[in-house]
Amino acid sequence: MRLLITAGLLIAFAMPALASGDDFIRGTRNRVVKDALEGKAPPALLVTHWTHTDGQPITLKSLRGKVVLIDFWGTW
Amino acid sequence: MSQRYADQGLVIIGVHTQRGGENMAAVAEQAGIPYPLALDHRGATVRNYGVDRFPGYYLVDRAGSLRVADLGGQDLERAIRALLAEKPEQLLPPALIKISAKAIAKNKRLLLMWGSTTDVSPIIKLARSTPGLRKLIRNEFEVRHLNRLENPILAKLLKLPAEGPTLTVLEPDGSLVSMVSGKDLTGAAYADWLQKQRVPVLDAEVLWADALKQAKSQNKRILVYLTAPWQDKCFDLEALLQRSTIANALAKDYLVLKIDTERQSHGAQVAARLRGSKVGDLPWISITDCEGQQLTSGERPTAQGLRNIGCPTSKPDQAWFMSMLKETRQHMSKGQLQSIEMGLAIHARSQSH
Repeated sequence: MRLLITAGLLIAFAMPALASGDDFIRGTRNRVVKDALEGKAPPALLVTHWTHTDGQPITLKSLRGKVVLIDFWGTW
Repeated sequence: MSQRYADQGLVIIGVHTQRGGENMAAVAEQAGIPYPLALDHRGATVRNYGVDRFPGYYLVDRAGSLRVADLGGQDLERAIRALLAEKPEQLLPPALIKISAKAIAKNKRLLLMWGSTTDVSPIIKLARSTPGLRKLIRNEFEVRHLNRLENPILAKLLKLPAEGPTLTVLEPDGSLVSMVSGKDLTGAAYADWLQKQRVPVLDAEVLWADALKQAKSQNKRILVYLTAPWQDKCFDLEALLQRSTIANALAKDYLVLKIDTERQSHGAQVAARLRGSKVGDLPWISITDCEGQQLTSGERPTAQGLRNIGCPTSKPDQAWFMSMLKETRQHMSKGQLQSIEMGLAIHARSQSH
């Protein structure tokens, strides 16, 4: 498993040199998306494989009255 | 942290990227992540949220409004506490949503300047001519120039006088802290009023003394880092140390303390004492024992002398940070060291976009 992650990291470090032009455009697009999102209802979570919930999906609507932290993370 | 704020109403959801999804369950178990996780299996969620840095923190308030889209390198706990404290009946006016997010992220308040451009420009000029005023505004407030015609509801809510230049300081949730007339305002009076409207000022000497006391009683060491509000890399380091897997692992052996050389009173003083010199380039990390004696610092030996690793991003700097921990850990396990190492690598990857 560790080999997988290490290999993934090695490939990940090589990527930026190849894709900088695309990254710039994607970065601009993301900034526009984030600016437009603030103050509005958050987009739906289009996800699967929920843990800790006995397989029951959680919707943001069901969490009204709570403060919700969405932590986007990755391992690669 | 999830447990600490859960009974106040915080819910944490971890959304794992499409890439590397097959690792999610295993890594989550190894790191002991206690909150629900889900997989963005088609990459659509990351795309729709515009996520381009990891970890990407997004915060939804109790009314269901997305208040922060990507917290960046700012203080996550502070943002959470601010949103938890908001009363649901108090809806934030749309004009303030963006600067409210910035203010929450950087622990600032809102400074709104009301009036026409002619009214407000002498006040803006004061910042240039009054020593220390520009820095005070930059460090402590998110500023917006508004006029009453375009924002009648907010003007009414704040009970603004009908006309004339008016300055208001608000909490990020929109509640009024103080109001002053901008007419014939002198630089000194402006600075004096603003000093009183800052978020509660922390005393670095008190923070340090408390840290020593706590470290002694818990048999821990202190990981202290020096910051300044104008240096973006300091926010990066703060975010790095607050990543849940890193924070949880560090908590085993260290009290983690931030000394802000500008915003905390005596900040520069405590920093100079810790570093044994002038403030220097920031951020700067040191690990001390519970008496305050330095054990190791974030300065990597190179052929050209010592190099400040700052927020460790390059491979040699990451390696130096890990060696600092290996040298000073007491109870942290190899597995926890590994999680920290992984967290550093992922953080470094996210910086190169």
